[in-house]
Amino acid sequence: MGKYVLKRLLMIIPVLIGVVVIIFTINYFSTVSPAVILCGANATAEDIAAKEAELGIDRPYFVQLANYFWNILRYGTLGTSYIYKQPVLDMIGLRLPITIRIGFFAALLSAVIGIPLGILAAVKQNSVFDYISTILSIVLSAMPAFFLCLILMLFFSVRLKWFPVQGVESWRGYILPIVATGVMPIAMTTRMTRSSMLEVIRQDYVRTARAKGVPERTIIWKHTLKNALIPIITVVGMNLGLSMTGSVLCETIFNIPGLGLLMNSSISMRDFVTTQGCVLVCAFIISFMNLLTDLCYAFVDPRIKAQYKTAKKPPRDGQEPKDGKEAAA
Amino acid sequence: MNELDLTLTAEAEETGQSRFRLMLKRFCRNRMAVAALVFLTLLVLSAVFCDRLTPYAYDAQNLLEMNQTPSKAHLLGTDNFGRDILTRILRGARVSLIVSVMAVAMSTFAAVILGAVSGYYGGRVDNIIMRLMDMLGSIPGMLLSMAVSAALGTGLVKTAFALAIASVAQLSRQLRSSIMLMKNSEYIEAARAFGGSDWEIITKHVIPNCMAPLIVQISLSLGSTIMAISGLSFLGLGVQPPTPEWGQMVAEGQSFIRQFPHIIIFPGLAVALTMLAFNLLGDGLRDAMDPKMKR
Amino acid sequence: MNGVSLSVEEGETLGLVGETGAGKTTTALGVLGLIQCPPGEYVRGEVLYKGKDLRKTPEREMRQIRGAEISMIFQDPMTALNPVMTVGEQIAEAIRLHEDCTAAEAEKKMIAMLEKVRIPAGRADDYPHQFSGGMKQRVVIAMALSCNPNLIIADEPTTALDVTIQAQVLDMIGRLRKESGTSMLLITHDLGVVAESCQKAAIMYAGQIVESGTVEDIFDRTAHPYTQGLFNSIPSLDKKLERLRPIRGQMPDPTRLPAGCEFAPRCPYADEQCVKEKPGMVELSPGHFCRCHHAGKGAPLYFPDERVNELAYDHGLPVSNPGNNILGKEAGQ
Repeated sequence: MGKYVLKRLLMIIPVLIGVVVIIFTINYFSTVSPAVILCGANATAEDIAAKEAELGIDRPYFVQLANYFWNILRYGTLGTSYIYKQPVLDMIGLRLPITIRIGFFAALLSAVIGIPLGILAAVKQNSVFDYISTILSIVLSAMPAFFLCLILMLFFSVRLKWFPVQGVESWRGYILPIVATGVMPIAMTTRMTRSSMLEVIRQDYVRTARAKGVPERTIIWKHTLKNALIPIITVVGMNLGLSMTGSVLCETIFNIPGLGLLMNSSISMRDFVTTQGCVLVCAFIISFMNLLTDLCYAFVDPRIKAQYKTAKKPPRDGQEPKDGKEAAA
Repeated sequence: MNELDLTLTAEAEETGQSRFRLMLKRFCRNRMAVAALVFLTLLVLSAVFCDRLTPYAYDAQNLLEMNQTPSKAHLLGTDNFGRDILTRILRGARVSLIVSVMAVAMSTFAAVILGAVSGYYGGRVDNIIMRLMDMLGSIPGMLLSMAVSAALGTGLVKTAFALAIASVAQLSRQLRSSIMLMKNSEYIEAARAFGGSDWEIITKHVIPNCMAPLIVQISLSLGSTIMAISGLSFLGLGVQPPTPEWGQMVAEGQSFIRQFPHIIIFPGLAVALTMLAFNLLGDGLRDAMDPKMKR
Repeated sequence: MNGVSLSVEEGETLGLVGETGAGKTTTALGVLGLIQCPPGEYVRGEVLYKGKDLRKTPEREMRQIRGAEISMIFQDPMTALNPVMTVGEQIAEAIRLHEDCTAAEAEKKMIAMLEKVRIPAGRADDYPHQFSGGMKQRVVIAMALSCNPNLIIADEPTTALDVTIQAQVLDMIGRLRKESGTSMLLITHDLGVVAESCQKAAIMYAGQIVESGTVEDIFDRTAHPYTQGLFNSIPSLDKKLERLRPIRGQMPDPTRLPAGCEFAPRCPYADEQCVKEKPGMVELSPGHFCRCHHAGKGAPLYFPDERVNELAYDHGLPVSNPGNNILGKEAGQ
């Protein structure tokens, strides 16, 4: 198991390198130079050229790329922001906790609300409750994030004045962003839980349990849920990764100084170094969450655990060496 | 083939109807999906004929009629420049639909090629393509679109391209796995045993058999792309004024949210309804074409 | 499903035989009240167990009966075991539910059960995926027998297994059944299995019992044309045959049953009465029942040109002239 985790952690490195190369390449071919934005409207061609030289973006593609990696390896920095003139790593370090707080609680909300709702909808399939929760989750998952944020703001901040319109100076400021970020994950988790439970309830082994005389409650919680968890874990893990990397729209609307807002400003100001740093961090968080998700599978399903242990495909039924005992028995 | 599929075939044999007609019949039984289809058809029609449907021009400012709430003259009211919101929403539908169709076409084209090559050949080619997709896939889609859009500049095709890149990874992974499943199935083996070339097998057997999930996926991606366009435009990285776009209309109305919420509510609802319609259509198509995939 | 009437006396084994889709499994699940509703529905009928109608028994009591008094062995051991629970847990669960005992006692009993089906006690903590098909089926058997039930319903217990293991598993079921004096309803499509391990047999077709009686009745005094057809479909070692004579055609769609006898469209003896009227059960000799208009009247046994029948079948024409498969076999020699 430990070996598997180590291997997976090491596999994140090439992915991150690739991510940096991709984002760097996109930025390199940008039609608008950061120098133009920094120098303002009245800048001459010389000013811009001088600025480009200062930022080091007039150098060849590979030199810039190698330089970026060298800085990471040698000095452990992600460069200095063109605009804020601050180390990118420090800026991210300041903003990431806020984003993670929102993302974590949003994902938690999705699990705490979505999973029970999905189970209930599956158990009471075709009941009024099932219909309402299914329709709600379909409708809510079609809500654009910015629209949802604005509607929540309109009702709870502007009309009811329960929460601040913007910022996260107090805990109250977190509530609306968490809810806004959480709505889509809640809807997705509910739908996935419901369909996964329904899939498992149909299985033969659930019938076996019924034939044993197991009470319905135990059937749901012990026999069905554990088997239905894999797709649910996948959705929750994906939501965790996505919401922890920050919702650009949500942070922009509520003016929350998190990773999303930083990314929005750095992308629109062509602050390439900052963008690269932010995307690198996001890619790491997402890859890491994927790894955590895969590890969770092992706790739920012994077949996957066996697979991790041997790092091989699990033996198919009837092909394992234990078959030899069959004849002897 | 599962039971339902068998009954479908049996029904088809008995009634002499083609599988397509039965699929249609099954689709029509799903009222939500039919409603979604009707809504989308109306949306497309009104996007095409929007200039004739309303007496106003989408960019005609009228400073005497600023920020009006819905009335007989302006069914959905006017915005802060006195422009008719309904006209702008209909005109915005045109932009959203064109861009999303372009984006989905681009990403599907790329994903079909990548997925088919990767899934069919396997081995090293598969490994390289999939590692590339892992890299693309670990960048949040919204961010990737924003970065590409900022680098390329704005314009309908460029925006479509920026959106397409963000969905290639997921789409090609899905196609790859369904092709891999199919590759090992018996009828492909049979085709190979009869000496079919790779090209023949891919085009005649593999791709047609991936069509059902692909069509469903296209419908779902159209919806999510519309949502993404509005998000990009909301941030000022997508469709630029004066061309109206739903997300951009919401962004413009944002500063008036206290006094005139209707300016943002109607375009926001337009995005939500369109996305909802595409989702319902996708679900309906999935249930009609392949009951096995029912989730 | 209708017209199913079965009775299993204490300590005896009844074989329920029929083609795929005849409704054997549905019957079994119906006894335990495990048919999914919807789409399933119980219209009428009763399931009598020790004089009590299980259909009217409340769910809570049914749970006491399931597993403890009536238990079931399923067709496919690959899917019948919960993949995320150890096999020991799954067997012990049944014991804990039905017997008033501590966890440790249940554990002990579970291990004893495992040893009865010849699985080493050390494997109790393994998961189903670590077992082969035959071993999984033995686990299912251990689970079904763990609470000493009075009736076991074995639903094609060997169909999903390798031929070499089939006999082994059947022997084991038979041995354990005898040891505990349990009655059994053995569902199968294999007449050989019935001959070997049952005292009584019932033949099922399109949701109905078409013939039932002792094994001797069924095998030596075959009355129903469908049963005859089944026998003709079995290759025999001691008779040289040019080819087998399978029953032609397919089972009718359960939603569109024919107006008359269900078997009429495929029956070589079918006449006008058969097409129009549903036959009732006829008692040929005490305990030997048959659902056929021609039963007991002495089946008309003359042989028209075999090819005429074949042609007619191939073109989907109703075969009105009676032909005879079972005797045709001898004619072919």
